[in-house]
Parts: sequence; structure tokens; C-alpha cells
Amino acid sequence: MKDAQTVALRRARPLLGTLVEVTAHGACEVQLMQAVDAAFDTIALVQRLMSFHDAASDVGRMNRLAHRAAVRVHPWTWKVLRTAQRLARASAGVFDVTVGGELMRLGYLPAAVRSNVDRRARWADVRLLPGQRVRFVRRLLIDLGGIAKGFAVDRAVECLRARGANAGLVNAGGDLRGFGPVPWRIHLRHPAQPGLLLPFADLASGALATSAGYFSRRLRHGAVHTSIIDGRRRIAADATFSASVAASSCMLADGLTKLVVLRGHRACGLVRRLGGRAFILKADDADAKSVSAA
Amino acid sequence: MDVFNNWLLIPAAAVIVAPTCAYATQYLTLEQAQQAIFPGADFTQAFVIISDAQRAEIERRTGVNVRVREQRVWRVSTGGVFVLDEVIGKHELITYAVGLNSDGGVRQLEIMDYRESYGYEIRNAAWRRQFVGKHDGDPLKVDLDIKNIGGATLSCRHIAEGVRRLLALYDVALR
Repeated sequence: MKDAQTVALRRARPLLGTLVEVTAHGACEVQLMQAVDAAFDTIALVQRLMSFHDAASDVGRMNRLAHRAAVRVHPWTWKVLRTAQRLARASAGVFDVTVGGELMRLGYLPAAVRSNVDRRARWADVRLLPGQRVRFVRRLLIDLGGIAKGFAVDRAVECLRARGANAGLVNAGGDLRGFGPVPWRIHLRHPAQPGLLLPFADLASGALATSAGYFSRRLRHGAVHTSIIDGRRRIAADATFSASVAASSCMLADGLTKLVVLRGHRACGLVRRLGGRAFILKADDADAKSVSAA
Repeated sequence: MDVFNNWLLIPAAAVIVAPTCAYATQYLTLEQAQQAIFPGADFTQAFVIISDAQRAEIERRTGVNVRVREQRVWRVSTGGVFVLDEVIGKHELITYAVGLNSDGGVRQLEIMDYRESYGYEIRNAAWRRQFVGKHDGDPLKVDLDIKNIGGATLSCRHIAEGVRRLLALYDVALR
């Protein structure tokens, strides 16, 4: 950003249950402010569509009604569900958005009014029907928390570009995507000491998502667990490392980090086949040099 | 470092620099926040002192503790109020501004300052008071370089509680 004419804006608002940061560079300040506002509005729309907590959201309506009749959803919700099902199929069900019941039982999601969920329900019980309609074959609760944040980042980046920003970065609590001529320096938190920020890489363009248990990790019945659930075994990950995935879209990166948290190095081949690149930062690693890529 | 030979990522130039324990970002100054929320308006400051009765009423309605009795509020020439507030979490201290329309609804919220710290200091109330509102001479070295942090999934629950408290304050003391 050597050009003296370039204006830079950096704003933050609380959205998606985290602090969302939008940075934009461009020629005209007024235009940039409008672009940044529009980017936040876009993220707020994704939140309204995909919030588990909001009974009127697409997710809320599906969880209440889709086991009885097909529910029509917004094209964006549809797109997220399509990606979720693709990841579920590719990972043989390790990635699974039907873990809302488990997250509720572990206290990560508020208890729904009715929670008589069929514990046998799996991702394949979610049917995507023509006309952007969704039907659940069993009574289940979906939670798009593991992938919708990345999707929101993608939409916000699209919005910044369309409104004239020539560079930008959107960071929703560690799920981020950048664009523009100058690479963005990204720091990662040390998995055992989240206050330590380790310089990790310069993101030329594309997305990087990171999942780790350092803020969600809890002790339950003497065992440490996180809010990331293995869809096949229905148990919470106890990862002490942090998993980052680089990919072309933040939605894909966000979803793939969950597989790495759950399966560790065993997931790296799959991540690569699906278009991502996994990085694992272990708690006993003293510096960024020991970040291992696969 | 050829493990990073990727079309997306170039390894960070410095493998390791002194890791920071405290980190801060300023997003907006007071004036910038005012103009971002109420463009073109004039602002008249009013210090609001929350009485015991008002505090009890706000806490009863929201279930959120009122820790500070003085609230910095500005009346806006075009209608509504601009409120400056701070929330403290386990590791973070966030200064933010909320614009309220004259009907008491939230017009816009902007984060102004974000600071985080880890370690024993944050649990010490006196230390936290020193942290509040200071930009120079902090006892702890605070990294003010702009950073893009991966994996920063701090919850914004405290901000949501703060907004509930401010909405009740508006109803009880400012309307």
C-alpha cells in the first residue's frame, strides 16, 4: 500500500458469536466505508439465516419442522448444506452437521425446547430436495457452526471486491480470507498458550481457517473435550494441537479444519484431495518452525 | 521451509520473534466512531451518574452487573444518543460505542479498542484499572502492531451483555 492515494479502513463488530474484523484498502474513503458496512451487513444476514439459537432462522426452522415436512431454505443456506454434505460423504461421516444434539448435551448449544432427537440420526438423514428444500428422515438437530462462519467470510470478501476495495481481509474469529496485491501476514496462537502470537505465513490470496480447543476446551467427567464432534463416533475431540487449513474458499477451509482436529495427520491426505492444505501446530512446539505441513 | 511451497501461503519471514503476551488494536478514535455511527451530526457530552436505584433497576432487568457508575454519553444533534462503554472478559478488554436511535433501538455498534492479555495480571483489579483507557506508559509492554490472528475465537458474550445493560440504562436514565 505504497500509493499515497490508498485509504485503509479496519473495523470490528461482534457477529457470529465472535469478533469479526474487516480490513479494506481502496482509493475512496466514502466508498470504502460503504463497502465495509455492506460486508458487515452480509455477515449479519448469514447469522440470521444460520443461527442455531434463532428459531426463525433457516436452521431453526429446519430443526423444528424438517422431520415432518420439507423446509425451503435461502440459496445461501442451501449452498452451505451442499458443501457440508459433500464433506460428510468424503470423510465417511466424520464431518457431520447433525451433531446439534451432542453439542446441546455437552452444553455448547442451549437446550432446545424439544430435544427428543433420534440418536441414530446421521448426515445421510438430511435430504436435499429440488427447489432448495430440505427434509430430515429422522428427528435431528443440525448445527452449521463448523462451516457457516467460513461461508460468511467468503460472502463478505465478495462484497468488498464488488464495492471497489482493491485489497481486503475478513477475519471472523480466526477464520479468515484475504485478497489484493500485497500478502497479509497471519499470526497463529500457540495452542497451549493462546496469548502467544506466532508469525505463521503471508497469505497471498485465499483463505486460512484455524480450529483449536483453547477457548472451548472443557473438563467433563474428568476428560477434556472441545466443541468439535466426530460425527461417526459421536464423541468430542480432545485435541491439544491447533489445526489450520489453507484453501481457496474460507467455507472449505473452515470445514476441513474440523477433520484435522478430529483425525490429526490421518486427515491430511483427504484435506489435500478436497483442495486444502493442512498445518498442525502442536502444544509442545516451541516455535513456528515446527508447524508441520502435509 | 519448502513445506510451505503452496499457491496460497508464503512462510512468514521471521520464523520466531519475541512472542507477545499482550496485544491491542485500535479500530476507531472517539471522533471516528461518532462519525461512523451518526455521520455529519454534532455531539454534546453528558456525564450520566447512575444512582443506586437506577443501578438496581438495570441489574434487575438485565441480570448484568453495573460496575461503573459514570457513563459517558453524548446527545446527538440529529436525534438519539451515542454511548461509550467498556467490557472486561477473562483475557480481553473491549471499548466500544453504541448509537441508539431516539426510540431506544440500537442504530449501530462499533468496536473502538480491543486489548487482550494473558497471565496473572488480568485477575488483579488494580492492574485492570491501569489498563483501562491508557494508551501510553502501560506497565506491561503492549504490542500495538496490527496483527491478523488465526484462531482468535474469543466469545463476544460480554459485549452482548454490555449492550443489554446500555439499553436498560437508556430506558431508566436517558429517555
